[in-house]
Amino acid sequence: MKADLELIKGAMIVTPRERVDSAVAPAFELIAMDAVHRARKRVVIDFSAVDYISSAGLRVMLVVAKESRACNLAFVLCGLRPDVLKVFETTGLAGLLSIASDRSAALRSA
Amino acid sequence: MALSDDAQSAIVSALRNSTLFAGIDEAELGALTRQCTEETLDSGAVLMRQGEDGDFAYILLDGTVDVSVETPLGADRVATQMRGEIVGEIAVLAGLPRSATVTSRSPVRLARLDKAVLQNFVEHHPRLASSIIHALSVRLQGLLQPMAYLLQATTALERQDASPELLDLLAQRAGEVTPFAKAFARLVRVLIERRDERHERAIAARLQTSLVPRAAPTIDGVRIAARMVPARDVGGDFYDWFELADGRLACVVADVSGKGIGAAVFMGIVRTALRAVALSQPDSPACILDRLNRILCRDNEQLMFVSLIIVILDPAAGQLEWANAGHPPGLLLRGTDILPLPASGPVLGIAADAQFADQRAALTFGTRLFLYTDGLSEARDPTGGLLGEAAMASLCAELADKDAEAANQFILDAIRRFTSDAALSDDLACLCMDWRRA
Repeated sequence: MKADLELIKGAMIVTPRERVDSAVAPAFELIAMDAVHRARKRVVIDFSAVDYISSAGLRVMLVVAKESRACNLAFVLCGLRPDVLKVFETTGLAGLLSIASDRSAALRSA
Repeated sequence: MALSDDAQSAIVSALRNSTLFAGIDEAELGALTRQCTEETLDSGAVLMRQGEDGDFAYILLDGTVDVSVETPLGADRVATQMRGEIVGEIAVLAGLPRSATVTSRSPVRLARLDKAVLQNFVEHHPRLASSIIHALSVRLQGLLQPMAYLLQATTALERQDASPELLDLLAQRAGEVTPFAKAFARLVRVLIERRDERHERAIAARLQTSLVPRAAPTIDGVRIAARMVPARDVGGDFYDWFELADGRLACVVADVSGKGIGAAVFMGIVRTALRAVALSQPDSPACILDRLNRILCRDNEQLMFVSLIIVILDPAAGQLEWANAGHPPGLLLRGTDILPLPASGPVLGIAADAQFADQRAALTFGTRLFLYTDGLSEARDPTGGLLGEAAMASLCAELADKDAEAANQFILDAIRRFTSDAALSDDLACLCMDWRRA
């Protein structure tokens, strides 16, 4: 699983660099959970380099959102391309997770 | 270097212990000994190399050497020899290339016997020739017996009844090829384990196949055909249909998060809970989803979820009613009209208070329902291009002259062409239902 990690003003930003399917989901979960445990204020997942997310990838987002809540951290997704956003919308998960248009909006959002 | 007295007696005792020189008298061995030269080498020195001509043999006076066999995959130590043992004599006497590489493990003191000396000795002692043949036969037998065991083990493996006991016996009695026998035993154990896993996956696949309905609905005028194609042995996509107590017929297609065994287990839970909910009390599709969702949300530590579309056909009321929990839109086909049945609530298992809405349409003769999972709409061509929901609808527009079974086949064939027959990366399931005048 290729992903970049950055810490900006207490926010951990995870940027996956490839499609998030069932093959990489376990590694993605480890990376994102590690980010949650290193963040001080918020966790941002930047999807701008991702053109596909499978249900296994969606499940990782739910697991990480739950852990973020338990750690009192904001959890925001951003940079979703239309195909990826559509998956979040169809499954109704867009209504259960915070989604910002881009990274700076994600860092500003409450 | 001239030999010391203790070196000479060490050589004589080494030669006497060797079966090769059995029966040669002490004086003769003493004469041979005097033609030896003494050498010392540091640890890690190569005494002789596999494949080279055998021009000399060594008698180990002090220290230890490793004998290893080299293959294209690397070198494997097959034996260790110590003080008082002879190394490399067979190649010299039999005129064969070296069968192994010998390296000093510690600093070693050696007595070297050159080929000319040994051959001269053999010429004067013809009985030595039969000893050489005997030594080679012993070595050959040392190989034949383990080979017989290996053959037995591979045959047993083919018959699928290889037992660990056989492998232990094999390794114990493998003689000179013990390291190989042990490696072989490890390999066989891995193979047996994989075979058992395959066997269990096949059982899981059969179990899963047995969960989908086979009997045609008894309602006049209804024809249903459905397909389930897991990407692995088992999958998380499924279809179902069942008749409710009040004469309605429920059609379902669902997709559990993830793939493989984990998804299959959750799929079994979803399918069973859905039938329990729907059959226990006649309800609208949205009410059924609401009750199912609350059950799935309980104790869902793993945050597994399922997208599911349920369409209920009510012939008495002349109505179709559906609810869609985060699933790709099913398609209602009437003549050239295509009505998508989009999601009216989120996937099940995540939010216990999620809301689902019922949607309705009149049920007229000639209505066709096509439900599918995202394994179809999200199929990719070799360049990564997505098929998409619009293309699914276009494909469905070409189904008019086909019965339900042929319609499914047509769609799956089209998907296969679109992906250029690439191996499935996602599970697929689809269901086609026709309502005709009985």
